[in-house]
Amino acid sequence: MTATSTLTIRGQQNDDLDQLYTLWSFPDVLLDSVELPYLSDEAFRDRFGTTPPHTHTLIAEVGLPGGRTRITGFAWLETFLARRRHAGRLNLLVHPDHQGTDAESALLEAVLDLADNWLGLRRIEVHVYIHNAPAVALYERYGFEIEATMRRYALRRGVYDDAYIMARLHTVPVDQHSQGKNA
Amino acid sequence: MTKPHAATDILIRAIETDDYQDITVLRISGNVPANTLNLPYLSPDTIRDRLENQPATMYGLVAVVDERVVGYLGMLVDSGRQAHVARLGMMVHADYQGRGVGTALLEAAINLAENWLNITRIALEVYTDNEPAIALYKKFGFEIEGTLRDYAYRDGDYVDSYLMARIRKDA
Repeated sequence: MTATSTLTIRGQQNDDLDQLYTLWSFPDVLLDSVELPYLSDEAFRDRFGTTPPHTHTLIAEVGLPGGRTRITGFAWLETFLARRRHAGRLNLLVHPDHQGTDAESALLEAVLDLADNWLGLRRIEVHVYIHNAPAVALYERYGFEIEATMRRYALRRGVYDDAYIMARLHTVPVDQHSQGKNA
Repeated sequence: MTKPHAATDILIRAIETDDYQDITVLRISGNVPANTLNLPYLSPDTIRDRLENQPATMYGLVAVVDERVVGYLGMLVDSGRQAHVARLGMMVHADYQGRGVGTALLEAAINLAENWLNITRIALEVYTDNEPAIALYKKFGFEIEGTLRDYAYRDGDYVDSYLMARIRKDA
């Protein structure tokens, strides 16, 4: 199935909410975020029914036999304002069956393409629990570096756990004319 | 010229909507924009709007000297799995720095957070070259947790910030 399944990265659509909400039903997905389980349908719709300004949402979806599709990942990139307009914070939730797969890395690559080549963001940060080695490795592979260790960042499995701030800096391209000279 | 005041001359109280004019003046005074995320031009209307629409989890304190608001501290308490976390930002009018206003504000905020709101982590960001502020935070037990590169834009260039946090002693 994996070999034949097609992966699509796309923007959020109106009828995504029900399937998107299922990502919130996997404890393994929520553990490594600051999200809560048992989110009411209403609260979920309030949060993700309309994309807030300055926030970009991306969805990873695979095709299943019979023409059905499954949402395998959800990313939301919140960009900051005014003197932090060059910066944003990324949140990534990936279906447990698809963590560490192409569905995850393709989603991250799409976010970085959006940030680098369309939004011209200079700085993207993520918060990652220090015990979440796969996520730390994933972000390091894409140029994120550990900048800070936040002590007692959030409650995880009943314990106040520490988290890293990891950030990736991207130099915004020079203008077309100087690029031409270098080419 | 204003003269230095003893700490007893500083009143700390909750912020009120009527403070918006003093707050506007202090936010753009002297080095305050350079040491915060404030912009150098600011409308009092904007500040009044903000004060009238504060989230319930935002706690604002002001320092009053000579019946004038010369210091402001805003503390936002997080929720859910981070309900034990508060984040704060503060500023003191350029003419009143270095005479205990920041100390009085921060002391009050830590008391409010740790002894009344049961907060065990208080975090803040400070530009890496703001030595007086860093010294103040260290005096109150805040530790540098890391350096955030190109955190903000200031006077034509990107600047780094430290992330600093204070963990309550019993935590």
